[in-house]
Amino acid sequence: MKPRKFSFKTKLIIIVETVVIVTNVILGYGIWKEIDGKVREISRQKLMAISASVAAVIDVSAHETIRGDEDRDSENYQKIHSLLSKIIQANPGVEDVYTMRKTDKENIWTFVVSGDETKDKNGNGAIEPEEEQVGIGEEYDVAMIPEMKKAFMETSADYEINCDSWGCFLSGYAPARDENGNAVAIVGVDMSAQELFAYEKKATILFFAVSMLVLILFLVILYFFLNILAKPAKKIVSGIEGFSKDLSSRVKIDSGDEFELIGNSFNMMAKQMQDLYLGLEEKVKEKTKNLEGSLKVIEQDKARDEAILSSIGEGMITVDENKKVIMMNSQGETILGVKKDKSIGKNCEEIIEIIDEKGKKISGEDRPVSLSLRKGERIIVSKYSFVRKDGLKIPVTISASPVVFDKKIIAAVVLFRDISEEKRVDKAKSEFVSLASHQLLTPLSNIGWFSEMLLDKEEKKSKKKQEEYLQMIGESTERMVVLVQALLNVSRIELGTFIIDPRPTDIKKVFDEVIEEYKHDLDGKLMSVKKKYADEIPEIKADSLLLKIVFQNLISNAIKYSNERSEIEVAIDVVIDEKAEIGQNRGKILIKISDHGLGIPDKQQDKVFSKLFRADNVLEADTQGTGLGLYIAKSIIEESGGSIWFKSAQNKGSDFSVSLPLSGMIKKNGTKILNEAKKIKK
Amino acid sequence: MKKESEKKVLVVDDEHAVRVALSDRLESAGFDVELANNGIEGLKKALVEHPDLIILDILMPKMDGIEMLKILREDTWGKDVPVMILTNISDYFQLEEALKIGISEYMVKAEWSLKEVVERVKAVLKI
Repeated sequence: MKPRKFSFKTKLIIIVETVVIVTNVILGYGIWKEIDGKVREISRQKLMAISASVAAVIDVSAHETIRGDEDRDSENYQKIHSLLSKIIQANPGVEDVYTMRKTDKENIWTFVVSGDETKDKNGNGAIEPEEEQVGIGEEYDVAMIPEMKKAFMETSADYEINCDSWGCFLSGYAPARDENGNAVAIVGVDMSAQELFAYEKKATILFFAVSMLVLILFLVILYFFLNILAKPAKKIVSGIEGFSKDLSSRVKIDSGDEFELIGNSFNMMAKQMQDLYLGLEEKVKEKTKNLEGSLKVIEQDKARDEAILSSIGEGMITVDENKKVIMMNSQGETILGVKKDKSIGKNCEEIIEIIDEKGKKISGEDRPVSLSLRKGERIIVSKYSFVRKDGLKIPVTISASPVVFDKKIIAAVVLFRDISEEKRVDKAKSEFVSLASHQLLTPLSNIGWFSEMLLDKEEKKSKKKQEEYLQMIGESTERMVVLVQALLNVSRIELGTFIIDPRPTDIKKVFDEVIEEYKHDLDGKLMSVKKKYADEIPEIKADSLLLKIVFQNLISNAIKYSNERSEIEVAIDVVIDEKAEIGQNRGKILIKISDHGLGIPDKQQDKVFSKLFRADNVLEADTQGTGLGLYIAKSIIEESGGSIWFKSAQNKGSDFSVSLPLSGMIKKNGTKILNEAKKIKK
Repeated sequence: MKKESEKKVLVVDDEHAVRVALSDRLESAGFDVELANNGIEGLKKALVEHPDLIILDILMPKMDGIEMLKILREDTWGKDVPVMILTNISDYFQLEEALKIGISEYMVKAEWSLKEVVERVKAVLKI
């Protein structure tokens, strides 16, 4: 991690260095000034000493005789000049020693004797004006030199360097007194400022050098110490960084200062956070486990509910208050011909269309689910059909119930059942009733009409006609009796109330009896029966009455639907299953009745065993059959544990076969005995 | 005794007894009676004989009454001939269908005496 702007170190260094520089400058300047002052002072003292000394030894009276350039060659001048020039030579640094006196003009003094000579000092081959010796009586303005002005009173020296046409000097001055003690002239000593300047320059350089040194030294020391001091801060920072990855990370700071306190505080806080976190983790784990447990239970419940829903034989969809599907079970998918996943969220009107019995579409508002949602009631409708997207129409019974939650209708559950089968059965039943009633009404209306005609006094009927009519009445009556008895048989079969009472029976004998009963009919059509009985037909447990009914039906059919002079064959045989185990069926008795009559048209063969069914070709030949005989025969045989089937070709004849297990007909308890078929007499 | 202006009635029914009863009764009432015992025969006879009235049963082999009626009505003559349905079926759907196609009467045999049947015939033929 890096600091956002400047690191603390940098800030500190900048501050400290700034302080150091400022302190340095101030201090340095102070010191410098002090030292410089001191050096100045020393120079001054020196100057004053020299000037005072010279002023003391100078021959003042001789000096006073010198007045102008004309006195240059005088002995007095030479003596004083030589003295001055010796002083100059004796004191290195002293540039000039000279005398001056006052004039009438204020602050204007004149030079008298100057120890200095005209000399090419700088060695450049020419005499510059400053290199010229000062002339006797040359004027000089002392207004700006305060120390000089004092000179006539006391020895003094310049504090400041003065510069004039001869250069820059620091000068000392002392009064020269006559025997009376009056200062009549001054002695001036000039010290070249060069040295001072040079010294000052040196001092300045030294000062800066030292400053720099101090600065750098401070920097290094600071840096060094900061690193040491910053260590704890670094430790804390890395500690915090590490904490974000590892809650157990702590810092160890032994600096014994506030950093240590921070470190300890951090550790404390870290521990608390760790504990808190671990505590939370534990709680979360627990809660998660609980939730997972609950979730499992919920999922199990859900799975169980789904299983329950799936096992419901009825189709179910649940819709919200906007009729959008929110749930569908698998039976619903099957009936509606859709997939649940594709249907969820769709309006149920998009999924399936509803029509009434007349085929008219039921509008959205009139659909059971809409009514249920609107009225808040259960709506049950059994007359509608679904029309699927694939065009298939399925008659259904629909039950729509509202789901109320918190006094509001929030959904509706729609249950529906495919009642195609029921409808078919209902249709079959009503057709049966229709047909049966037609079958009954026909002989009845005949009886009615013929009786009417017999009783009609207006039209006299011939005896022959009367007989004919009576005959018709008789036939119709008989027909009705046969039909009613057959219908009763059918009802007993349907209700399952008929008895099967198997006793040891000789099948051959039963058949012979039936054939005997129909002798009359056979003779009437000049027909014969050929018997093909196998030799060893064992007795089996059978209900002879029921067997008779079956045989009666088969024989009468064979006779009815055969042409005159044709033959009927009856075969009875035994088939033994060699491989049968103990307990399994050992075999069967087979009975076959074959005729060469009208046969059954291929297209109608599947209806032959249906109630009231009579094939077209048969209806023509004989309008009087009940159409129930084969249904009754099949019901009896199958209920007893046997089988019945046929082979037939139109206009060639039919073979009807019955098989009974050797173990015998199955006993059946009941309350009713079936009726024998009454023979139709011609 | 046959009158030249005798009306012809075609009776189409698969029951022998019904044919006998109706033909005897109608003949003694002075009608000329033709018989047929199924829809195909009935159609043939109707288109050939052009009876003044057809008495039609519904339940018959080969072709039932409704079928025959439908085809009959397609014929130029056939579309106008009065037809009386005389059946033992009291089936509303059949009645509805027949009415749609166009009939003069629908009667259940067992409910009407022969006398009433003849009276109805006379009424339809406006005798």
